[in-house]
Amino acid sequence: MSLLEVIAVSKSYSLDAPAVRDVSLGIEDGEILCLLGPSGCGKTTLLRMIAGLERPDQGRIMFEGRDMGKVPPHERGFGMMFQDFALFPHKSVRENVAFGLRMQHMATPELDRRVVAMLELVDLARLGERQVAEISGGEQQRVALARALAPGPRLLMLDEPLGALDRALRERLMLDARAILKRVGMTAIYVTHDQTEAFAVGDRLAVMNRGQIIQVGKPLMLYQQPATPFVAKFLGFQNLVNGFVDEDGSIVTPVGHFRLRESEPTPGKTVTLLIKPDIEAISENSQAVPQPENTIDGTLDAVIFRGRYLQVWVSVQGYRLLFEEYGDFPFQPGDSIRLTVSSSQLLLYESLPQ
Amino acid sequence: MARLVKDRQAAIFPTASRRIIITLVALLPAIFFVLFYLYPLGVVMRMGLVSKGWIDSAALTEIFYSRSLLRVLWFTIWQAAVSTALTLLLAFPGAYVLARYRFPGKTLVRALATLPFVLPTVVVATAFIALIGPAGILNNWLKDLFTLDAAPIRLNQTVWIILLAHIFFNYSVALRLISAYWLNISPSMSQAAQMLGASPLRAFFEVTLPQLRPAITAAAVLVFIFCFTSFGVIVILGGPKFATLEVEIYRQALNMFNLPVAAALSLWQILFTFILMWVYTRTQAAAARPTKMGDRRGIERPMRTRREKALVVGNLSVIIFLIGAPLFALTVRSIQGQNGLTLAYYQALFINREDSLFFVPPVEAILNSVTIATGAMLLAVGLGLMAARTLFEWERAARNGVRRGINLSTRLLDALFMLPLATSAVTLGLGYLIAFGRPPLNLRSSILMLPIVHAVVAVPFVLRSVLPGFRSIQQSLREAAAMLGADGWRTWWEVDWPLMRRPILVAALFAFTISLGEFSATIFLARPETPTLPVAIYRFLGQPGAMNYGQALAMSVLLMLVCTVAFVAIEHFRFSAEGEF
Repeated sequence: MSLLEVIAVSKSYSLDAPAVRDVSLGIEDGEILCLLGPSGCGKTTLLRMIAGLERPDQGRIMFEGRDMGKVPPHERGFGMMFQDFALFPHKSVRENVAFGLRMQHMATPELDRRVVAMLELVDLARLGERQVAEISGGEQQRVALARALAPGPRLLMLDEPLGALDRALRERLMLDARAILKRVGMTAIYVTHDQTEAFAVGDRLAVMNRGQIIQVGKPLMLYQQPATPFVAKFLGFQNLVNGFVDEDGSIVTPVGHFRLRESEPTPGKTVTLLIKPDIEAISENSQAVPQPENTIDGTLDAVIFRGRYLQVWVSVQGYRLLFEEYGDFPFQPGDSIRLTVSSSQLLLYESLPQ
Repeated sequence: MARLVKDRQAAIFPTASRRIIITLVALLPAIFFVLFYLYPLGVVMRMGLVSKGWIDSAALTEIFYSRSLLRVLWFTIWQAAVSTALTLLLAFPGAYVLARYRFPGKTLVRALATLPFVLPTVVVATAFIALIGPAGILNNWLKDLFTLDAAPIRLNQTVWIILLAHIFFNYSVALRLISAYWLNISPSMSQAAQMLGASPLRAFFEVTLPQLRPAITAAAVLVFIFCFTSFGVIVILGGPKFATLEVEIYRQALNMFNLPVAAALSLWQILFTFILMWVYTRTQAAAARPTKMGDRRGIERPMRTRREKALVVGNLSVIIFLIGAPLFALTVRSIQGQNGLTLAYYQALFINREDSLFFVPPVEAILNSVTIATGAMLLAVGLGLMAARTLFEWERAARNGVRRGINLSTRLLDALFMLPLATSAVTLGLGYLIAFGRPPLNLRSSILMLPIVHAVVAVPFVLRSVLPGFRSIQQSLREAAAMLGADGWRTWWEVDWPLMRRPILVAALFAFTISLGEFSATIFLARPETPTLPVAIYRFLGQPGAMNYGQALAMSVLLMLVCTVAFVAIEHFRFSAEGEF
């Protein structure tokens, strides 16, 4: 049994659009789980229900086998880091970190020691006497983390903890955050809408959309096998095309015909095809030879230099497809080109009946 | 292009005629301020301090030797303290509800809760008489219901009705200040405390309350100032038994003709209010410190549990009953004759009755008020614009580092123009009475006296409305217009005027309503044959008979309607949504 179990939890603020629909989820001891999804997908609501700040309409939340339904947030022993940090502006950095310890009636000498240890953990020992308004955004973020960790919570929740910071700072702090959480062996739920952040921080990811969990798994597994077109799109994949399955089991799409390696799709089905951005071969399109399977004929739109690789945009039948090229690239925008993709780079989704 | 260069040169190197205009714009409000604010105040000071050519503290210290004056001082302080405490106690949960919950009709409730701030004291006092006075609707209903002979509610001319009216008046001030501040405190603060192990109650005392303290202090000081200088409410609702310092000044001056004692009391009054105003400005500056704004969407939430619903409904009832009931009673009672509904009181406003106190029909008081208010509005807006323009230019010069040391003088000037806000109108009235009742400047019988004193009272409001407008017009906007080919006049018409239009309108409405409802200074200065509306209401209330009473109600309703319309317009047009008093 998992440390925390969310069992069939639902919550709605208005009748027509439930915030969280029948979500079940387990978190193991010492694990960092990332809740990933676009804004408004219900991830924050789910987090706040686990924290006890919101009450589920249906379902149960069990911690160490105990139903938390009637336990108020201040008695759950969970920690939470808020998106706006929620540092108390009328208290110093030290007093902020000490707050949770005072609530536990910790004796002064021990409390002082613990506050210093916490500030050292986040590398802010020298800022203890500063006022919260006097320190930078990145420092505030670390104070918030220290404050949440200080009382030794059994579970830490982080609600978009880097959302309020600028991009460059985020890159650095997401690694710091993971390192600190791992060093103290914290079990944590980390909410974010940024897939890079989720990949960097989480041991496991749960992708949410419209109040439901679509897929749960390790980062690599998610990246290799996105369960739905939504997950694929959300993880940054660009090339999703609609089509149908032909008599012979090949996939017919506006951008070309494709054949998958292993699966045998049912003929006649409408499907969505994901073409991953790696190219096997690229050549000039002479139009002479009939188009073979697993090739794409199109017009080169743009080539963007990305340092270690080139981003290649190709227009085909109204679709704009994106590929990555690591080798030489002798073509100019406007050229007609033929791309060959490996069948291992293809993923098929059966369209849901509308 | 050559023209543009010339224009910019003109702006930077003023020609002689430009310089004269600039000087005049700066000088006119200054002259007005010195002549019609500092001078009368100085005269009061001299009268209170100097006797037979020597500085004499006899009048000043008399307050400590006279039992009756000490009693006045004591009453002034304790009624202000009790009114403040009760107001805050009532407004605090209301502020919480307004800041945190979403419910249908919220905009309307907020507007209703703010309305009292713009209502003239006379209207409020009359409304309370119409509600719980001897012939008020509550007593009439109770008498009918239980067939009583005497009115069961006898609060008129007691301290209770005074406190009630003070709460009515100041509830909105406290509510607005505290709820606006509360809205800026992210709810995640209290939730963070709870996640760290604090019970909701503990989180409130350790986290929410300390953060609210600047707003609570500012509200308390402001409400205390208003109650400390209360005049109309005490005179009309308290009757002859009760006197605040303000009322005592009036009585010493006009009933006992003891000007030196009145002047000495005024000095004490000024000292008190200036200290309090200074405290208020300090706390206000702290309260106005911008807090980091979170997402406002998440702050207001619908009520969910039964307890939340009870809290919201309870506070809405307070707002509706406290503020709605007196105004409702006033309106209903004004069309209630002995034989059912009637417009007789309104019709009587146009008739010059023989037994009436005046030799003119009340409608003339209305005309007087409108004329005076128009004059005061023009004066206040004109002078306020000039002062704001000068202040703004100085601010810009200071920012650009053109002239050093100007920053301090700008702030000083800003504070100086705000002084009338801290000066009681009764003191001002007394000053005018002494200063302008004799040569060299005898304005005693001049029709200009009232518009001038009203303008002095209104200028701080005008400044507060117009200055942010000036500040909103960045020089780059004008430069952009110039680069796109607009000449100087065109730039003013296309850029400055559209941005200034609303602030000026708001300022004009403020000045107009302030003048229309002004009572304390007016009662010193209005001549018997040309009363204003509030003075007429006061005099009619003092007369026996249902018709006099009814006419006072009818006039109050009219005044209330005008002020309400102006208030709605102000709320609609005001520069920012934040409440600033």
